[in-house]
Parts: sequence; C-alpha cells; structure tokens
Amino acid sequence: MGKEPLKTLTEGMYYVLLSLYRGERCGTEIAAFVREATAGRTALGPGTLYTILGKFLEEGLIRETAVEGRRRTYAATEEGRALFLRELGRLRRCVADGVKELGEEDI
Amino acid sequence: MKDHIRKINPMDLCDVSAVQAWLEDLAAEGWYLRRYGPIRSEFQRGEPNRAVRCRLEPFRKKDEAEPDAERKAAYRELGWQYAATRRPFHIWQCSDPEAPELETDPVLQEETYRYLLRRSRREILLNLVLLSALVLFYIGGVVLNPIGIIENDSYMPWAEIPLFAIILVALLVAVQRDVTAVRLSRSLKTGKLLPDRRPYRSARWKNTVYWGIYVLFLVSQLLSCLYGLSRAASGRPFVPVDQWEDPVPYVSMAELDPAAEPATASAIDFRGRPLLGTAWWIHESEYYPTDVEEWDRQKADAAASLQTRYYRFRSSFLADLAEKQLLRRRDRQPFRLLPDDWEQALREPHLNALPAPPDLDRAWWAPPPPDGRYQSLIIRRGRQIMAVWYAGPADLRENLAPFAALLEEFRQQGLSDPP
Repeated sequence: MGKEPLKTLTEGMYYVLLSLYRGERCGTEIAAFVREATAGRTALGPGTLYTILGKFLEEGLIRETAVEGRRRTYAATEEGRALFLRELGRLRRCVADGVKELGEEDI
Repeated sequence: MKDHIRKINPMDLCDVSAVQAWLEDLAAEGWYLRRYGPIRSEFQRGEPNRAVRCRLEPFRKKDEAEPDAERKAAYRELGWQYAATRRPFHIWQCSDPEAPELETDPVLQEETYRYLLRRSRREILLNLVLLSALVLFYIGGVVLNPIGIIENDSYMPWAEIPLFAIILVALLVAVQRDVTAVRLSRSLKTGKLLPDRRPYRSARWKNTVYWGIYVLFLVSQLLSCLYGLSRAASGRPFVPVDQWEDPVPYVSMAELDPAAEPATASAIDFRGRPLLGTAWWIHESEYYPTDVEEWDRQKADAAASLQTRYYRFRSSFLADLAEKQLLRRRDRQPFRLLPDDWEQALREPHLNALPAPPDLDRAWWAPPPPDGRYQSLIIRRGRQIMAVWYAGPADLRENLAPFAALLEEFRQQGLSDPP
C-alpha cells in the first residue's frame, strides 16, 4: 500500500508552508518567522522543523532553491501552495462554523 | 583531574526518557557526552550546568548516518549541539534554557518513532525464532538421542541453565523495548510529547541483572569448554568396581555362571546431565583395560565378557524415549566409548520381546549373530534401563532374576541419582 499524501496539516506544518508561500527561506529563518508570526505562541524545535521539511520535500510540496555552504533554502511548489490554500479555506470554514454557532460575543 | 571518563551505559538506549535523564544528570556534574558506545560511553569534562537538556532523536530512515554539517549547523543556530550517534538515535545537547525543545509536535514525533516500533517488532520476532529454534533443537536432541546426550560427559553439569537464561533475557529485553515503543506511540498519538526525563534507578538495576546473567553465561561457556577439554584429555579411565564409593549397577559374570573364570569389573559413570539422569558403563572380563583404546585391543581375545550400560532417567517419559532409541539402534558390536558408534551400528533390529518377565516392565533378547559371540539383552524397570552384551556360556533369557533384583534394589534405595 503506498503512502497517502498529506491531507491536513498540523499547526507546525501550516506555519512552515506559510513561511515558504511567497519566498525562499532557510531553516533558521523559517523558525524565526514562525516565532514572530505567532508572537511566540508556536515554537518550532529543530527536530520538528527538519522532520516537516523532509516530509514536504518527499511530498513535493517544497523544493530546495539554493545550497550556500551549510545553508539550504526552500520555497513552496505549486502543489504546496495549493495545499496551503485548501488548508486555509478549511480552517476558515471551521472558524466560521464556530462563530455562527457560538456567536461573536461568546468567543 | 581527568578530562575524559568512560561510564558503562546503565540502561537500554531505547529507554529514551531514562537515558536523557542520565545524560542530563552527568552534564549537571560537568560531564558531557562525546561518544555513546554499545556498552560504555565517553564523556568530556566541561562546566557543570543543571540547565543542560539532552535529547535522543530517532533515525528517520534505516540507513541514516551521522547528521551532515548543514543539519548540525542549523540545529546549532537553534540552540542544539550534536553530541553523538548510536543507532537508532542521534543525541543532541542544549545549554540554552530559552531554546525551543528539539521536538515540538507530538504527531510528527509519533511518526519518527514508527521506525523504532517496526525495529523492535523485528527484534522480538528474531529473538522468538532463535529461542524457538534453540528450544526445539534442545528438545529434539533429548527426544531423538537421550542416550547420546546423557552419555556426553564433556559438558559441564547444569550448563544448560545459563544458556536458557541468556535467551530468556534477550527476549525479555526485546519485549520490554516493544512495550516501551508502543507506550510512546500511544502517548504521542494522544497529543502528549514524550516525557523528557524519568527516574532510571530501576532501569539501571534491571540492566545490571541482565549484564550479570550475560557475564554468567560467558563464564559458564568458558568453564564448560575447559571442562570438556579436560575430560577429553583424561581419556575417561575405567575404575575397578570395588574402588567406587557408590554401588555400581551391574550383574557380575559369576552370578550368571558360577563356573566362570575370575574376572575384573571396572566402570565409568556419566553424571554430567543431572537434568536428564545418570548412566554407567561397566566392563567385566579377564582383562582390565585402563582405557577404551586398550579395551578395544583386548576384547576380541577375552574368553568371556560382560558389557553393561545402565541408565536411570529423571522421568518415565525420558526412559520411554531411551528405550525406543535402544531398540531402534541396536548395537550388536561390543560397545565402544565413543557415542558415534551407535550411529555407525545401525542394523535391522531382531530383538525378541520376552514374555511377561518377572519383576520387570519389559525385556528383549537377541542371540549372538552368526559372526559374533555376544548375546544382547535390554530390560526396563520404571525409570531404569539396562543394556547388556554377554559373551559366555549362560543364557541371559534364563538369568533375568539377578537383573530384576538389581533394578529393584536400586529403585528402592534411589541410587544412582545425581547429587
């Protein structure tokens, strides 16, 4: 049985794809972006980060764009961007359903 | 003051939280990991630091090597220094309390531990196969050749116990690894990251016991080899019957034929397999051989000769197996010390069952072959079996009473049991 492609993203995966959506970044820049974008709420450990990058490379969601000495930079592929947009849409629907059910005042 | 020390690894590497706790405790004392060996690890002196975190990161692939320079540099920028690799883990250290944990996503961490789970399952399967093969081999040997095994005195008594103990320990370690891996996997699937530390005193004691059993096994195997060599070198001399402290289970030629010429009876015993039973070989003729080679030269010239093999097994089941073996591989030649001769003397059996022998469970007899002088007799009483070859005027079929009386005497006194 072959591996199933990613269907949903964990929080760490989501922010890594977000960081690579518009441009290239290396591993430490990705970790810094995630920390800033979430105001420290989400921290990416190096083990988790490199697991995500390895997974995304296998799935063809990102590609290596440059290798300069010991630094590798990555960028999202079309498939990666498409998956990100699908996930963003899914999360929007989840939020909208929650707001509709609970009302803005209760959140 | 030393700059480097070596310490024996106190627990199994797959007990991740315990290993991490141990490494952190050593770092708090100022010893930092440099190399994690299969048995012991090397540490280098540094500044004691209680804030150091040590983490084991599983291989993502089977043939993973040491992390490349790019990965080490990237981890370093995020606060983690590479320490060592010991299949199937990379070991990282971090002295910055502000740095994020090595793994921050339990779902992804669970995926990385799947390889470990598959590996532990393969180990269990391999150990089970090995254990089953050894048990089957041992049982097969006992079932198919109880006589040969009980007469193999070049093996140290009780030597089987360390062998089975070490196999059992290997299986227990593999099962423990699997249980640990399954617990880790289940915990990660519920969204909990692995505990960073756990007390390791019990793991340390368990590992010490396992190593103790392993060392005991190695020592027992070495002693067993030396014991076997010493027994082989001695040539196992026959000892005159009257020099034995224990009663020797045999019927003399004089009891079979009062007119028999004076003869010398000598014997050797086999007590190296106390789990199975004991055996005796008794030789009686006008010659007294000092060893088997000399007896081989003399036996053809002896006017009368009585060769006896006596077996007393731990259970009736083992005696049943031995009885079948004796009947299956009847040896019409005068016996030799080397058990291989049993294999070489495979002939079509022509033993005749004797009807209702008194005070015996069963008895078989065969006349001398056309080209030989020896009658054959095999008798059974409970857990005792005697096989007799006799070259002389008496008919063994008419002389079962002394054999029956001997077996009854030994049965009542519980003699020839292993110490």
